Amino acid sequence: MYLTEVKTSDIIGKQFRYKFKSYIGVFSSLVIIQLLGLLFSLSGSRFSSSSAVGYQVDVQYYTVDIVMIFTIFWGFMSAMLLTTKAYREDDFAFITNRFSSNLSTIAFLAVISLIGSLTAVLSGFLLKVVVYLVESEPLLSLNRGGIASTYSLEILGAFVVVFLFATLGYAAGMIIQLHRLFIVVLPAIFLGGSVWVATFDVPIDLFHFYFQEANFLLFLLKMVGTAGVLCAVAMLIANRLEVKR
Amino acid sequence: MDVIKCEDVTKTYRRRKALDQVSFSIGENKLVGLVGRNGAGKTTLMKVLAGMLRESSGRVEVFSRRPFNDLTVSANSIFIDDEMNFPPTMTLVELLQEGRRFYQNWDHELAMKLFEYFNLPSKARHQDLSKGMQSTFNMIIGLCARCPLTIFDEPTTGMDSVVRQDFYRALLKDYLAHPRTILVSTHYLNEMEEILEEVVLLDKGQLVLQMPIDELNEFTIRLSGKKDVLERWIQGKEVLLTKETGHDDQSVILKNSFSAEERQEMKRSGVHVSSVSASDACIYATSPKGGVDHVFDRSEDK
Amino acid sequence: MVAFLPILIILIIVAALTTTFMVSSGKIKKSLVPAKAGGWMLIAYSSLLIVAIVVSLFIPGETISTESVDEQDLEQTVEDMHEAVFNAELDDVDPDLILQEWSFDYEKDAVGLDLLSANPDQFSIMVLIEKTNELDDDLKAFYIHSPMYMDGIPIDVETTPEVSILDEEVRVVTPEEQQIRYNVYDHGLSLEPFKEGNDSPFHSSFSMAVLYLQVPEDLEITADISDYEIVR
Repeated sequence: MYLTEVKTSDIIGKQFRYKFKSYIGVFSSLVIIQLLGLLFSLSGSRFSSSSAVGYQVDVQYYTVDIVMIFTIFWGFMSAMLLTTKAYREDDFAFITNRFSSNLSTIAFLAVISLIGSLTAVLSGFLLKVVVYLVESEPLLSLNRGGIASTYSLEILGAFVVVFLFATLGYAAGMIIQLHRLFIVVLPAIFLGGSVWVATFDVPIDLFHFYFQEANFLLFLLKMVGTAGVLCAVAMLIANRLEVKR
Repeated sequence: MDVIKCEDVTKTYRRRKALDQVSFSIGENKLVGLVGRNGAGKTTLMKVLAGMLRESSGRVEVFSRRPFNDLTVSANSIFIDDEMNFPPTMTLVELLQEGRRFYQNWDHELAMKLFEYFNLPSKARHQDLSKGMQSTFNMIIGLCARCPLTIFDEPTTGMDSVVRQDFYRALLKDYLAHPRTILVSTHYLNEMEEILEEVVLLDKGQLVLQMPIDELNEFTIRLSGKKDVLERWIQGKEVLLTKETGHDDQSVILKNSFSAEERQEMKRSGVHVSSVSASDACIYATSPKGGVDHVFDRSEDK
Repeated sequence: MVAFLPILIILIIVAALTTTFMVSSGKIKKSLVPAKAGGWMLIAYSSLLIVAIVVSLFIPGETISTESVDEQDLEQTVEDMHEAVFNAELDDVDPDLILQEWSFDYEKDAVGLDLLSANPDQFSIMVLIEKTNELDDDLKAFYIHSPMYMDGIPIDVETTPEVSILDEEVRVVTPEEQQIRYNVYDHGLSLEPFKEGNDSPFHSSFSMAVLYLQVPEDLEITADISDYEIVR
């Protein structure tokens, strides 16, 4: 009997293409959410005011922070949705196993995270144009210098954060698939943990660990490393999940 | 080499045993029917074979590999059922093209011809189709993938009888032209008797029988005649069904363990001997003793 | 908790949008937008962004840089100015910082100060008096202002107080307060690595306004002692 031999990498590639077509809907929510974020950003993100002799100087800052936050949340939600039964089993119509299916999903998450962060960073230009057209005051651009002036590095920085949250959503979704009860348990652990840290001043400050890291390389390393761990967790769980369809 | 080999395969969902120590094997290039009543474990068995479910115990081998999580098994087998998930973002023709990209042996020409023959709307999405059309489309994918192991779980769900007949013809023709192992579960065994070579019968998760269709046709026999005459013949035999046909008349179905001489003798003593079709044989082999008649039988000798 | 409520609501909206717009297959078939719209929407949105990038190149308005303001330089300037005025070395003050000069004939023996401002509690100009023998029967006044920056934006200081002689007093009226508003587009991400080097780019630098009076040596100052300081 002649058996077709397949290369895993080849199948992952095909599944990725298939998933990209299947899940193209994630981009409609991305666009809506980023436009919504831009709308909220039009009122300005920060305001500072200072007075001196004869002067009162107000500075209104416009940033895409809200768009970024929305995009991060979008990544989280989209990834979580992909773990639900209807999506997770989509590729079982064609050649797959759990390993290739997960890898292609993670690759898909990486690509949408990249697209999401790319548009999030670039949406600033749209914000700038709209603010210029709407507001009568002069519009200045702030150049913070250093790596913040390099768009590619900004996109990279945004990407690792969005991707981290996407993998977080993916892993959380998989855990929930393991047992429905985790829908309640996971947020409880999260909230409980936050309260515990806050009340007892426990010196485990995850936020500090991840988001106060000033060294860009270390920052990337922490984000990507954690995302990797989350992917591994998701894959371990997925390996136990059967296809129920 | 056996394409499918199961040894004491058990699959438990929580407490319930969907498959209970099933052992059987299917050789290369066979067109096999998997039959059994609702809940007999057909779908579970097929999903285990396709690598979607993991057996709870026992050993499953497909192409001498454990199917769960095996990419080679997945590449060489296809599982078609009526709950296939296809993304709504793709049209039917695009889905066929996906099939072409995935399966090396895919016959796209055949796929497009069948697609046209069955009048499927090329721009439509899978979920817009009626149940029968969905089944037809799934069937096209299953046929054209040309996988060495092709599994159809109730492929005719929702199809009208014309389409069903067409499907059987298409299945047979494609099977003859490109022999491979095809496993079909069906509730219409009578319609498929002619094309199947072998039948595997499951009941309550257990394997009841596996035999070539010809043997199955001879497996059971129907005897009818006067009660007292029949009594002599059926004594000590395993009677599958007894039916009162008149005041004194009875019709029984039982396993055919009679020799040709015995049958001659029966005929001479006024017993009417008739054969039972494979599909009826399967029904009788798995129905509760006495059939549904028994439920309505309120006489005292119950 | 109340403060988190709007955030929570917004997150719920985002979650709902993500779920509704994400087209699913199989079990959940409903979606607000056609299944394939995702691709087109992304293309349209990307095109819009590209147009915005091109248009933004033509938006007039300078780029301010947190790096262009050398804080040490700025501090040094203020310090130098401070030192010069308190040491009564007017010649050492950067002439650019002297925004206006006044000269009055004054023949009386004593002088007072009448300091007026729109905000009566606050007269934020420092009045320094130098007694000098170079002057006789006249007064000189200088308005000195250090460079002013707000979050790295240089603010052009042009307004000056009104200084006049009224009987036996020098009257100083602070200028009407001017409202200046800037809109600043900051594309920097609020991520720690991108804040490197300038922990808080959002600060206004210290500025100093001085009214420097040169008076004849023998002139008696009758003003409230807290209103002024004699540097020599």
